Amino acid sequence: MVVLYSRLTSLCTVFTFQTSTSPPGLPLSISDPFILPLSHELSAASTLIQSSHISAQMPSILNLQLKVVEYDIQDGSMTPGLGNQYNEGGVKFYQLLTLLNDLSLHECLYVGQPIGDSTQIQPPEVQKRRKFHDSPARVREDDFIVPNRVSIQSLEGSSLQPTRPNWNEDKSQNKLASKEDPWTLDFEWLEREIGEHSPRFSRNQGAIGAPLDECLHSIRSAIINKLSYGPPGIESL
Amino acid sequence: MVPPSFQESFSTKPQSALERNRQIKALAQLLPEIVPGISLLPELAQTSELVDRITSIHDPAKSTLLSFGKAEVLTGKRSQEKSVPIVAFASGSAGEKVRLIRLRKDQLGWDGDGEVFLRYLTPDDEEQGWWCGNASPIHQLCFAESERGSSSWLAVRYHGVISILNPRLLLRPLPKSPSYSSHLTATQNRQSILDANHTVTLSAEQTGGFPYADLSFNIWNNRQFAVVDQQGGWSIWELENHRLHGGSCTTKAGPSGHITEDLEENPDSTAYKDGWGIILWAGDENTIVVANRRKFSVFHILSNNTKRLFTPDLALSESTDRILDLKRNPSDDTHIFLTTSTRIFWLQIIPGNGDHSEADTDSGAKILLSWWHFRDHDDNSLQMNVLIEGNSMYFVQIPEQGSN
Repeated sequence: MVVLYSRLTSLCTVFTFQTSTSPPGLPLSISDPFILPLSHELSAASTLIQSSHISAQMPSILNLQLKVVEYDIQDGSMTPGLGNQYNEGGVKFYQLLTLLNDLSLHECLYVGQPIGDSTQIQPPEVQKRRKFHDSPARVREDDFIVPNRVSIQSLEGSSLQPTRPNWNEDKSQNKLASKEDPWTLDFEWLEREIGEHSPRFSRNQGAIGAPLDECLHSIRSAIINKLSYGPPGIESL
Repeated sequence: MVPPSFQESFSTKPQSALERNRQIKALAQLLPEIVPGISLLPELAQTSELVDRITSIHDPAKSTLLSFGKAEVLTGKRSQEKSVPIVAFASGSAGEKVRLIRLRKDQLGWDGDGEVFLRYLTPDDEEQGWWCGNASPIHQLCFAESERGSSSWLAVRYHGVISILNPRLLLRPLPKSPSYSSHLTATQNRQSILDANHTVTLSAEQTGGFPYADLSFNIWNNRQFAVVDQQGGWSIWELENHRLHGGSCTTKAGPSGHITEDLEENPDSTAYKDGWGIILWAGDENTIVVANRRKFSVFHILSNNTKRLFTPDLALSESTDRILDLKRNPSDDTHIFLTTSTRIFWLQIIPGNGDHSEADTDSGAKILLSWWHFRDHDDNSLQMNVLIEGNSMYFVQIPEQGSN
């Protein structure tokens, strides 16, 4: 099937060439051309182009691609339905992609029926739309990218294990970090230490009562004491 | 629908002398360094307007600006590499950018029928990549084809340069270089995992010095491509990977020739020479078909030896007909369709035998059928799109479905 189109006009004519193998014994032949009607959107685009400052007077098709849309039959099904009926009736669907002279890409769906078949074709609808949420990245055992919802225990024994910090001897303090997010550092103990060991620095008074250097010294001392008891330093991956 | 990537385009409406002078004055204020040569601008601007107006209607140097192919998916393991379908088309205010959009696989169906669907590929601009190249208008985009379908090699033809891209889908987006990013808008500069992956460039100086007219990949060896320039000179090139040098790619020159080679008389007249030319592979991996507006030639290539094969008379010399387009039959690589100003020809290409020294009268092109197409004789922009279809049908239009 040969589609003839032009930049100077919106007329698209289609010729069908028959080879001798279909049906057998038939000589080479060509059909009379028929006109391929363009979609309303392309007609609307032509109106838009005419009203713009571009001087082209017509839809101005730069390039056109007509493709056959294949049927996808699940498990060789023969159950009755519109899809099966159309497939067995020789109804074919085509996708027309058109690049206009404003470099916009338009697509529309066409249906072709055998000559003499006047069955009303119901337009198909989108049943399943595959999104690009799957990254092509593949997670392997030696990859430091950890997929979601993988427990820490499953990584034991691998060549590169992330180190889970044990910030606090009090396990109750670890509950929040361990259950919801093992990698978030809990600084509640620091805030508590500042409040307990630096009475001059309180939430109510802010830093007004204590000089800055004393506050800094208190914070530093609290951190050193804490480190001496338990929490290791942060280890980079 | 994928809207254009730019809001405004250059106007091709004729301007008055007053308007032109006003623009030149504004330009001189913006760029004071051009003031010494400002007197040259009015005449040049007038010529430029005329050229823009004509080429906006039809530019014979431009062919296909829309092509379908694949992008390789890099997973790190060769055994697991696969590809995804993409579409490439020209974009930008001057058509200078290559826009790559991944095709989304939709399933169209009917309510109540959960067994039979339609496999529908539609452009999804959620995942798209851009490539600026040398920022000059693109004249052709062409994906290589193989016997199994399209390939990931994409050729971008400009006026005097051909760039070969090998689009790929990365694990994570690459940071754009500042010089590259300056040609893109903020939306276009959004990082994407779809990378154009420019591999090699072929300049006109390497192929004879004349601007390019057409390019075509060998469907039997999609690392090999043929180019023809606006004077009728053609050449074959091969892509070579150099894994030892960081995986860089170079081009290796092959046989070359001219469309009028081995002809006793020169049938080309100076009329109808608008620089249009076309080249494609047909018959087998060693046979090419080259044509300009008035001449149609078939060559058989063997190592560095080429032989002109027989071509029938298309009655071009006795008429004002011109060759407008040439396409290969996707269902039979030995059949091509040729369109002139008045007719469509269905031709069979019979490849030559391996020995060029023997008389070979059976090989070459043979007319299977020709038909009048009843289109405008003066329309030089007529093009063809060929698809495989078995039955005669008529079309009933369905409103756009499956769009974004």
